Amino acid sequence: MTRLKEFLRSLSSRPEGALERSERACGVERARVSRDYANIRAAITQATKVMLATLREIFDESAYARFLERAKLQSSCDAYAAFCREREAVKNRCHRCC
Amino acid sequence: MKRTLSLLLWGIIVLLTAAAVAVIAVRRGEPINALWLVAAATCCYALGYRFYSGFIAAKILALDPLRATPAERLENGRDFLVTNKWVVFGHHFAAIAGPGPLVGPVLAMQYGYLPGTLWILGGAVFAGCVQDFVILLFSVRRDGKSLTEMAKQEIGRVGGFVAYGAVIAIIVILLAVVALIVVNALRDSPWASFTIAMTIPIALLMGLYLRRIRPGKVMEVSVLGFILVLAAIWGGQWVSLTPTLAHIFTLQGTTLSLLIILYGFAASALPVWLLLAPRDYLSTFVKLGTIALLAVGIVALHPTLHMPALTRFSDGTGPVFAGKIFPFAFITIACGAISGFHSLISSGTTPKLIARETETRMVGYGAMMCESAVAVMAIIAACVLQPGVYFSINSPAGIIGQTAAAATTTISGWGFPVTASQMQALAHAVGEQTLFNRTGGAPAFAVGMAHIFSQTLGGERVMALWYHFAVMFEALFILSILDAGTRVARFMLQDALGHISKPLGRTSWYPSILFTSAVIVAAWGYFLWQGIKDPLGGINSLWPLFGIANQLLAAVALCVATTIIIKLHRTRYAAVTLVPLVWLVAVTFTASWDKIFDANPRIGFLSQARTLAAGPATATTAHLIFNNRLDAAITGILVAMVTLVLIESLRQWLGILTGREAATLKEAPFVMTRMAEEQA
Repeated sequence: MTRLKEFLRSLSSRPEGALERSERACGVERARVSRDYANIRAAITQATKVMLATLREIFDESAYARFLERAKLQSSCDAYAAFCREREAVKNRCHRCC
Repeated sequence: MKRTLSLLLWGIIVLLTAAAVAVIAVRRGEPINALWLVAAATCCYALGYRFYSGFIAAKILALDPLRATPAERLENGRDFLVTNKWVVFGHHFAAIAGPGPLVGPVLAMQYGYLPGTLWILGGAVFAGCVQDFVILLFSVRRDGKSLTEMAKQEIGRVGGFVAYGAVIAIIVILLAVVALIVVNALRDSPWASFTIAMTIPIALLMGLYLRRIRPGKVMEVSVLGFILVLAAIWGGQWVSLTPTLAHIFTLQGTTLSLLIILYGFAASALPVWLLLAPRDYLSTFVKLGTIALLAVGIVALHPTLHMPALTRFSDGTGPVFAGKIFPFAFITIACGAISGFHSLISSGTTPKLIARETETRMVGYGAMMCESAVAVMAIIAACVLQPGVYFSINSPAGIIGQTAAAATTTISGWGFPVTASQMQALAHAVGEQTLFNRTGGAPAFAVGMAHIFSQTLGGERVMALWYHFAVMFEALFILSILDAGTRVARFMLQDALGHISKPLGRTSWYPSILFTSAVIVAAWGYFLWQGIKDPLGGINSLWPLFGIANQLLAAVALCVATTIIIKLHRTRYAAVTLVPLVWLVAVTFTASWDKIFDANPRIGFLSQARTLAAGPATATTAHLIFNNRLDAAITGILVAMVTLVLIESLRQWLGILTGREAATLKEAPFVMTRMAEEQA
């Protein structure tokens, strides 16, 4: 009787344990995959941000934004004219390469 | 485990480098794939960056992440500004990448791909990247001071004066050379002339849009400008097919020269926002995009290089320019290997943006590596052409003959078969009347680039569009350099004249603006005119002159760097800058000697003057003789100036090493960075 009970318990417990293990493994895997995706997404977002920041810096858009902030001005034709005058004094004295 | 993996990875890279370089160097008689050049370059740069720049950073410069940079200490939101390292990297690369790494390698391919490739790889890793890196760091440690100021402080007044003189000379010669390249690319080409002419109203429109309609929206207006330029390329085809319009836009070299000289004067004297700034933004936009596109195209197409590793012209009889591999290959290719001009950028805007000293390695060494990669791409673009086609495009009529039949017979006689019908078909495919004698490197690069692009995207049908896109791309940023260079030289001249007469030094006084602009434009315009009238094509004399001036400036920069390294008591590592310096001195002094005194009239300025004097006198003979003597005198003056810097530097080094002079550095005092505290 005891043997039967043990056998029945083993029957009922074995699939349960396997399922648990498999579910746990699946969960871990799913979490790992989703963490990887999140990391990749974050890396792509970060790379895009840096690329846009670089382009904004190369094309002086950031410099204009800083100028507006520093001079406490709203973007306007006059503000941009003042920015261009300041830029001419600084940037256009710089060398351009061959 | 991590260390083993790292060792394994770097071991594989070393083996790959050895294999790729061996294939490039040893393979003879059969074409190789461009990917071997790409692999060799990538691996060399990886090794150079990981080990050599790491060694310099740790052992010589001792980069200190705790030391506050001028961007942090002197931050004013204007020119001094703490900036993300990748942003500074992009900014620095956009500033150093000009037409030099594209044109120089194309011209040097007359020797075959081997000398140029080895010089670009070795020169960049051991000289060019090192120069940019150390000058950037030394400028960062001196509050972002310029090369001329550092030369004055660390070497002496002579150093500062020579650097100043060399910069003015280089700018003038550079502007003349690049203007000559544009003239040769646009000569007798209504399509290209129309497209480039259209960029002027497009730039004016962009300037007005930026100023009046959407202030500050540069990227938006650059996209708009780019679309309009593409429309101009498209329209150029229609112009070239309409006889009346084609006649108007078919311009001779002399007419184009005058137009470009007038344009340079107008661009220098006009307000910066109207023409200079919008064109500069547009050319940067096109430049960065096209370089990226070319890299993708080369990897996607991985073309075969038809040019042999070494041609018969290593003996100095080359048609593109005369002179042996040593020293002429090394002054022809400057920007892709080492360029003195970069030291001006490394001690200009960039040091004022660096957030930490440790970032100078990536920005200085890394950006130059990318520039060198652009030069490798130019080599590939030139070498995908059949050698006969390459020499037909790049050889002046004075060498290969005035007619297509004479040119093809001469070039085929050199062992590079080409036929008149083949050249005619190619000219037709790219929408030109002829491709013979299109010297200067730009048309050959454009044909190579069009070949790569059309094979990757669109096929033969769109080759003409890609060719004119490539010509527009080169001409656009060459004209930007012309605008900006004339203006920079004008400012330098005004600074100098300000010591004599105060009003002349005022950069906003209009008579001074007009006078100094006219002086600078007249100076480079004279050399441009000389190049146009030169029976040997102009590039033969002007490009080596530019190369000599540029490499002499690099020698000045390396003198400054070596002096500072000795003053830092790192004498045992001074070879890092001393060896490139010795090499450059050997190259430039030999080249200068040859260009002045060589008995071959195609090489020596004086012997060409003598030959002209002995020959039949024509209306231009006296002028040509004067020009050759002038070129010889300029070369001599440049060499004499750099000799003075070398003597002054040597005196300093010996004084410090023998203990007669104190090793006094003119660095800004150490200040602890706030960023470390903030992070903690």
